[in-house]
Amino acid sequence: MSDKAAIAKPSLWSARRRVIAEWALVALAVSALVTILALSRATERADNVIFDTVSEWGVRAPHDDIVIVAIDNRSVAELGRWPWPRAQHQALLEALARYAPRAVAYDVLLVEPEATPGADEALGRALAAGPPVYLPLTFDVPGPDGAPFEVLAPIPPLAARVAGLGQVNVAFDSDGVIRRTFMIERDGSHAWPHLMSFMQAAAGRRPPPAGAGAAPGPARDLLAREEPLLISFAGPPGHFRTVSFVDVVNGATPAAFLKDKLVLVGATADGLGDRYATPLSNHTEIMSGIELQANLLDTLLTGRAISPAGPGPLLLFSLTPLALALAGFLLFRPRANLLLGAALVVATVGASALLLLHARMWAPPTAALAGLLLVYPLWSWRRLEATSAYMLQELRAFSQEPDLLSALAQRRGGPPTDVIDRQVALMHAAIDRARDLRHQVLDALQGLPDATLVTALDGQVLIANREAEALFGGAGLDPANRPVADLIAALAPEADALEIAAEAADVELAIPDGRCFAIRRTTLGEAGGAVVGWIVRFTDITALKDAGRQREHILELLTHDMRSPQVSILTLLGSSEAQAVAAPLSDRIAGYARRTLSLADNFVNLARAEADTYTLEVLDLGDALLDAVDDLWPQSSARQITVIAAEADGEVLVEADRSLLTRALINLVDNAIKYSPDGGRVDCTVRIEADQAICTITDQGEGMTPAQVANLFKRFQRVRPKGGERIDGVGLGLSFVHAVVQRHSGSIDCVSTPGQGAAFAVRLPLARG
Amino acid sequence: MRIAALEDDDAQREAIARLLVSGGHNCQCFHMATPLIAALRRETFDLLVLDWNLPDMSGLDVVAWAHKNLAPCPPILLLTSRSAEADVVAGLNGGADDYVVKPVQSGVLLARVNALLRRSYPDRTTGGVETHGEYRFNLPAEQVTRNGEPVALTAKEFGLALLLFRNVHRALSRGHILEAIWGRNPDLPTRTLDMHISRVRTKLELRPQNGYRLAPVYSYGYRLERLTEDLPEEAAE
Repeated sequence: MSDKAAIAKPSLWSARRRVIAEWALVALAVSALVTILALSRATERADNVIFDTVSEWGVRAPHDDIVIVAIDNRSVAELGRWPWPRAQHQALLEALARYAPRAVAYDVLLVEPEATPGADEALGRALAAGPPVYLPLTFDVPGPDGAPFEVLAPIPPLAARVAGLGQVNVAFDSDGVIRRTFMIERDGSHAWPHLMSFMQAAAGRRPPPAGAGAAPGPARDLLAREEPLLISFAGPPGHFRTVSFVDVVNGATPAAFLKDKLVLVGATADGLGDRYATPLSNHTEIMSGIELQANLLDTLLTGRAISPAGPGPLLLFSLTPLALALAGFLLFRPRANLLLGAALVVATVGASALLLLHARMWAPPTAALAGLLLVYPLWSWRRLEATSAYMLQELRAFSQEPDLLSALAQRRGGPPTDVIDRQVALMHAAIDRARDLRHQVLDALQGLPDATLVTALDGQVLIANREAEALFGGAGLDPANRPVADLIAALAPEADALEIAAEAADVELAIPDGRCFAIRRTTLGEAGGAVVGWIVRFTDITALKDAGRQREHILELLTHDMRSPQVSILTLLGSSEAQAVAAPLSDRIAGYARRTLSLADNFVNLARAEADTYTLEVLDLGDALLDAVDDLWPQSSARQITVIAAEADGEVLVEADRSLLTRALINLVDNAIKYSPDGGRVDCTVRIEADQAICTITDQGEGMTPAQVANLFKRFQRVRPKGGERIDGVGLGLSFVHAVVQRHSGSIDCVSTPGQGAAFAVRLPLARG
Repeated sequence: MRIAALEDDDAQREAIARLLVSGGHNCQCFHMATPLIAALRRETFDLLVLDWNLPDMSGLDVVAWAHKNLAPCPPILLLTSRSAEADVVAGLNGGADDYVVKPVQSGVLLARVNALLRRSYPDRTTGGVETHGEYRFNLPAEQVTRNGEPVALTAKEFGLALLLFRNVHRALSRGHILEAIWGRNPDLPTRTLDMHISRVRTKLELRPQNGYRLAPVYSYGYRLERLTEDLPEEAAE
């Protein structure tokens, strides 16, 4: 037993627990990684590629109201080298005023005064005369004298005349590409709105931005950027409607082209102004600053500003695919999980693109993708590891399980070398054992002397041994794959086959050719205890039955046919005609007849005691003793023997067959009476001692030698009293007592000294409860 | 009373007839079952004494026939050489009213016959007090005196003792006793009856020394026997 306890059999549940633990671990690790990736923007470069790609799908016709007046190569060629004098700008502004655009953003930095006197003032007047003109300012970081930054604003004569000053700072991503901008730059005291905010306000799409007209010069605080937005580029460089600076100055541009438009003036000529890489510039073309501004304005006017997702939504977006994949691990098979993973990758990218194009939100998908791509191999590894550990444990437990026929088992193969080899060896041994076991079980089944069927739960025969094939083959049936009921019906057409087949207990079946079978059904169980089928055994009990009948006949002969003549003899001796026979002779004849009767009775009783099934009931041993003593009253009173049955303290309950137990006590008391001298005394007691019921019967007869006592309970053993034939009966009486007491799980002993009587003690277990 | 006796053994049949006549009864003897059945179709008997083993039919078959065809069925006493307890119970359950195992002791047979006749054809003159030998049963007071000395019995014990005395020499089944004393369908511990029998036996001293024996009929019930004077003599060798 201790062996069995030592081999802890790994339950399926513990294996599952291990898998769940592994799953939780993987989930935790990958989630943490994804969170870090998402929040740290470590995957920005990859995200940018996706952003750029998706941005290309968002190419659209530029906004109608935006026109660029480009300081292009032709203008430079015709109007002279850059930088142009203020008069050139003044000429354009005056020309523009005639076209009556809605507003003008003049994206040229005019931060230094011109040498020509009065030129700045003239330009200032031109700025104030026409449509609202907005000028850019920018920041020099770091500023002079240790200041964090310096505002580079147009010179005061100009600044005082314009409709607004807006910053045109750009924000480079780590790959040097412009994707975002900040609509407000501020330090502790000032806020500078973006130049395009003014244009947007001029178009009536928003209220005029506050904070315009900030003081230029060095500042104290660090510059802070606010209201980030990602530009939704309308198209690659050259996408916006553009007119040449020189054409506007010369009035060559059609009037409708510029009327009521939002005009952006800036440099596009080679070597002039600022140029940037943008998502749509494909890294080959770069976009001029003015076009960047045009794209921003287009973005603002069409409401396509893209806001980057905040940390909360970003984490939600990044972790959701991972969570789905992890849930899939627990719910689906590996193949389905692979498909799910692929679908999740596509869905994540798709969702990111959809959000970008339609919900105007940028949720970078790479962190989520990285999580997905990592979790699959990680989970596969841990899962395999857990499964392998479970299998190894199971195989070890199996190999340590006691072999059914271990003496027959022969193990092959050399010592294992590495881990895999060891597992393979274990597996191999397990399979070998299962195979051997199957063979041995089949051989054992075939070798059974009884016809035996192994059936499924519904009674369909799965295996039939040779004897079964012979038995049912005789009835013209192949037992395989048939219901047991059919087989029984074929064997014994008159029996209720269905009832017999369904009967759990033993059933006897007599078949027409005279044979008789005991059908026993036992369950076929799994190691777990579940019933999976039946073993049905047909034992040929014809010979047993015949023997039983023989015995019945003999008993019948003894009970009736042998008794009857003796009864007649006694009857005749008692009749009036018997007066002819002399009294001593008549008494001796009667004595012999009674002896024969008692012999027959004892035979029958012994046969019953040794063979019959006992009908047990709870009874008082004292009552049984009283019954026995009363039964023998005729015998004891005839010889003036006093039989004293002492009263017990209360009941002494035993579980016994009342008739057989009383008969056994009768035999003992009868013996005591027989061996007592006339006028003697027999003492009987019943008591409880050491959790046993004890009945003692003590006589004052001649007693026995130890050798006689030892041989007492052997059948036909007879203790011969010295000098006398008076005592009759055969040794059967004590054999009967012995058999009955043993069948009641009791014991009997005898203490005797020659000349001092004998004491018999019967010990029986007390009734439970 | 008119008694029909069926016994195939000549010696035993004559002994039975002699015994019954000596008891003051009119006895008609049959050596086979068939003529007895023929007679039963024509005549009425007050009691049947049947042997179990017969050449043409078993005594049990006759019992069954009588129960089926005779109305009212006279009481039946079964004589049998079969001493096995199972046989006795089979006979009683088959419809016999009592049984005697051979060899027949004349006193026992006559006592049983009279008990059955008394039972079936009661001639009871109960004036509230019944006397059975040295025992007097005062029914209204539910009191028993033995030789004038009162014996303390509970109501159930009194009922049980009275039932036994009224059916002296007659086997009473457990079911019969339970129903008579405890009523129909009593829900009792199985030991109840045995315990009451034991107490009645002790309190009234129903022991052979006092001329009574309260004997178990195994797997069936109990019988109170009044021992006649000739019994010890017969048992002696």
